[in-house]
Amino acid sequence: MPSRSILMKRVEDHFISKGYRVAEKSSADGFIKFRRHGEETVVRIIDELASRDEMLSTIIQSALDSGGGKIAYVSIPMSLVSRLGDYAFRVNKIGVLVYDERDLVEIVEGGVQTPASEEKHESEAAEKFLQEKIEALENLYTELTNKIATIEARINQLEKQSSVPKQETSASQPVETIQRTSGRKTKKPETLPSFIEDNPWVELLSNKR
Amino acid sequence: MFDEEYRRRYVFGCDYGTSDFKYGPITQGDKPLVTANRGYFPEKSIVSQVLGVEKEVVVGKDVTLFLGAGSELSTRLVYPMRSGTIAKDDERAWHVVEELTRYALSEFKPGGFGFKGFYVVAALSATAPRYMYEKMLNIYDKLASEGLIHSSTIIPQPLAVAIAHKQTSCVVVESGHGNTQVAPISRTPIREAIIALNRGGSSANAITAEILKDAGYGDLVKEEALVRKVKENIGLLPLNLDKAIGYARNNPEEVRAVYQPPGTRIKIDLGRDSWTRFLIGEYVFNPDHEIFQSYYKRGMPRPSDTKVGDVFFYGTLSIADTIIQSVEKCPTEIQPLLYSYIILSGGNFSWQAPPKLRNIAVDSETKLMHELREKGVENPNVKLSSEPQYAVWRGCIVFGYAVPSSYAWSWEKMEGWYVHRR
Repeated sequence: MPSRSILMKRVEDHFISKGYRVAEKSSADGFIKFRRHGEETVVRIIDELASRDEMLSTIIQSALDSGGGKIAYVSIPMSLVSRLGDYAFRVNKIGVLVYDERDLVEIVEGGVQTPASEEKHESEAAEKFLQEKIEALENLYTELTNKIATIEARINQLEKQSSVPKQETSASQPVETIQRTSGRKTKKPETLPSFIEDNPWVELLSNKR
Repeated sequence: MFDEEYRRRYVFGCDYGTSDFKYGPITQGDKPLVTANRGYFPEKSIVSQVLGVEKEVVVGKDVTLFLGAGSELSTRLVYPMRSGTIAKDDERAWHVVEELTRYALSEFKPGGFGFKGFYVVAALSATAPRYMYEKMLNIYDKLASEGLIHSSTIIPQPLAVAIAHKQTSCVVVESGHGNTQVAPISRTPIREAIIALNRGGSSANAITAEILKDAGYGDLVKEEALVRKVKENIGLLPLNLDKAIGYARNNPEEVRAVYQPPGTRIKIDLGRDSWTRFLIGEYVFNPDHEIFQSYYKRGMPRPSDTKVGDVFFYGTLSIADTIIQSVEKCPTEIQPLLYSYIILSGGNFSWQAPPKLRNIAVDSETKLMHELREKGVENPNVKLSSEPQYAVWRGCIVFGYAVPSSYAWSWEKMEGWYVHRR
């Protein structure tokens, strides 16, 4: 994975090519602020080795940036986006930049949360907006937490399976082991064609070694 | 783990049929996209004018832009899989396969980040010689270098049909335009028991053309598409040919066939010769019946025994005898299982059974079960594939979805994932 300085350079190049200029940046905190025609864009970077708390903190900061009338982006490693998906970011208009060793690509365009940028709103409307924003953040937080919990559970399960001695699996509980293994292998994506469902070949072919 | 998820997301099926090329990724749903399995080699100047690009071969929808070129059409329009196999040195046919595959994959290639190529599962005839596998994988190598393919594999079409029908023990009879394959399957194709016939839909067209000539419509037989339509509309499959002919002679009006191709003034009336309708269906199942000898003597080519690569193709062996010979090459223990599920796949088995000709003209399932019982097979069960045109593609998708990415290609087993260099 690229170092943070290289990554920040790539982010800078990406936005400069779109006509932005760097207004402020901090390598230690992992953010860069850009300006273009009076609009402000803040990009926050999540490292591949970031802890769960660090990741959530960065995403929430970006959500607050977005709620504060700025265009917010998070830059995340490919391995993370493939697990989390981009839906939650899209609905919250938080831009997403995905990176790997060589490339950096914008997969979700950041947007301005219009209500926050309009200070003409009356106080009731502003309060309502903030409540909705907090609710959206809470939902985002819950969604992320659930996804992380699922990933952790799956990792634990895999670790358990790989640490079980072969003798035990083959001798004492053969039936249970087969069921567990097959359940994992035949797990289907959400939009699975009907001809795959309940097809005995899936189980049969999954055992090809 | 990530590789497995990626593979499942980007499985792509390619069914190189004799007439149509069916393709699409797993996200396509229950039905693939279909385009004619053909390519047009235009004059360079025409291509540059119409498409604005120099292209040696045109495939897909754009081919229609060039149809109507008259006498040149037969030399410029290439159907690579017309006979089920492609000759090793038929460069134009291989070129069409490459361009069609590129066309299909490009249509679905996602934009943006993270895409490393499709996991392509292709289906070829069970009788395809090894060099066809080698040629296909070479083509896929080229497409992998363009970022379209990550890994690929090739499976026999009958296996794909069995997979699509969710049957792990069965016999698949797949009949295409030029040939027919009978393949017993017991969790894997039993390759040594596969039998191929050197006839298919084109043979039924040939007997239809002879019947039209005898009935005074010789001027129409030059148009293959029209002959095929006549076959589909007036052809009947008799339960027992001799009884059916006897019935037709006693009840000429009951079996009289009149066909008018839609939108034309042509009217084909077989009149007194309407009994010959039964010959069309019978010819598919049993071209060695003595009644066909007179046609052979008058010049109709008899389906000949032949050899392509390492595979022997029988000419006139009946479908029932072919199935029996094939099953009897398998272990005795599994033979009852194989007879208990015989799948007929391909348009060559679609025959109408008019209610007024009940027990005289029948569908393929009834005919084959009758013949197998007559030959001593107990409790045969024959099923006609409900959507034969999609079955092979569906089988490809299931195969790609299920087989682990770590299962590497083996030339010995002729299966597994072939990982391409990029």
